[in-house]
Amino acid sequence: MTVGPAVRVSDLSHTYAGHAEPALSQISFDVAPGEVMVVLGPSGAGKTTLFRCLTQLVEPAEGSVELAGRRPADLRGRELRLARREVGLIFQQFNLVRRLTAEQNVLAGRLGHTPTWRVLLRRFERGDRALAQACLTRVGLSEQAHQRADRLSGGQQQRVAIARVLAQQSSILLADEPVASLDPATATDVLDVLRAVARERGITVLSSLHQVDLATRFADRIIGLRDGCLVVDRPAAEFGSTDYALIFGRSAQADWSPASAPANRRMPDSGRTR
Amino acid sequence: MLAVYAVSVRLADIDLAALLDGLPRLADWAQRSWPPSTADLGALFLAAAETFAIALVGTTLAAVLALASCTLAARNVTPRALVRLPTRWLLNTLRGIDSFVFAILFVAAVGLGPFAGVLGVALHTWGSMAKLFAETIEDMPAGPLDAVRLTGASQPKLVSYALVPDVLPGLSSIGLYMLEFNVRTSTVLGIVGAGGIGLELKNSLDLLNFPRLLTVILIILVMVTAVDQLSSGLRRRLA
Repeated sequence: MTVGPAVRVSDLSHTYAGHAEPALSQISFDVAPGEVMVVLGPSGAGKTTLFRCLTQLVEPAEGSVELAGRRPADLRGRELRLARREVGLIFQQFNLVRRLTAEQNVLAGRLGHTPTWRVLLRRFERGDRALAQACLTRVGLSEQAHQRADRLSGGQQQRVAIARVLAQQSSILLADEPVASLDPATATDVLDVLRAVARERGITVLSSLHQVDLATRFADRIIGLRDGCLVVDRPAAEFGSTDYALIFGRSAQADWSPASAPANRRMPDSGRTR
Repeated sequence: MLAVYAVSVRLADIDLAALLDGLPRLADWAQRSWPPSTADLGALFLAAAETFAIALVGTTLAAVLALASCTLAARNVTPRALVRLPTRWLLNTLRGIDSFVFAILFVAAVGLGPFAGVLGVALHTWGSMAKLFAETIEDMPAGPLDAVRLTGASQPKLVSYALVPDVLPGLSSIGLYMLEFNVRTSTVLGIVGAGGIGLELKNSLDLLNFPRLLTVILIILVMVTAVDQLSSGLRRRLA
């Protein structure tokens, strides 16, 4: 294991071609091993750009990203694939392979550990199949193992995605708006599962959210983004109405108060579904 | 647009008088072709089977080549233009040359017979099929591919595990459609000597043997309809 932060973001700036305003400017923060950190911010604040930089889907104009002590931007080919194995991802749209079963999607987490011939012949090792079963059971979906992914509900699909990350056995988990496509009750359930498994296995979590009530319930620490700038960095227990105003640019009274956290109150946009 | 039509009608030599002159002749042929000939039915069926075989083998060969090349032409799997664009050029060239034209070339190269037809069908269909395959692959949502790539999977694993299951039904459907299309194409390949029932068609017409011509046309109709029905039934089950 590495000593030092699990995730280190240094002076990260990015401006998309054709845009005057930077999507991210001078972002720096560390996430300690085993810490659950939430990036909070309204839509358009730069959360998705931050995650695309963390996963190399976007190459940042300036600054650097270190995951488990390695800079993925400096890696190529096999080394990059080995580094990617160590980082699990959860997406807003779940991103399961639609025509594969829940179990096969979980086994996708083992692709980085499995020789190519086994993948081509779909002959996963016995240990990997047992692991996939255990991961599905852990997220409460052992019954649905042989159902096709596109036949599952949104909440179930996101649980399969969590099981996929568990099967990957990575030490870091990045989740970009993991519950934005789910109804509020399901969102709470999915985040509870996510937090519980992260705690059990000491996984470092960095997740973006846009609902304050969910963030304070889920996170150890919260950082806030607004217009591409980091405006808040605080333990979740200390998150207060000043922080809310800094991130969302309006008073918190109407829709959220520190006293109500971490109760699961409806936020103005927490009922948003797609 | 109107000018294009005007020029096109002129170039196409549209001549209604010629059509009117010809109509009685067609009517006469139709009359003389009844009843359809039953002589040589065995030989005609064999020729029809040869036509189907050309289409089946040619399409299968094309499918293998198209499968091997389609991912190289799909932007989401092969982002590198250096590989993708030359692949596209090759496929577009193959698609631009009709099976019939290829067949004429191959008759000259490998001699008369169905093998020339198979090669002609295979080359043209390769281009068409790979282009349709690539478009199907490009229509696949990017999310699942990104997710599997970012687990650390290499390109062959990514293609086999995340891409193939998603696009296979679509690709099979395209393959069946091309088979239907090629059965129709193959019925005329015999005219240039590339095998199949087309040769019987041409011979019957040249000898003014109209009952036999009618039999040939009926066999073609039955075969094409049967293949279409079977294939579209299969395609419905894939959807």
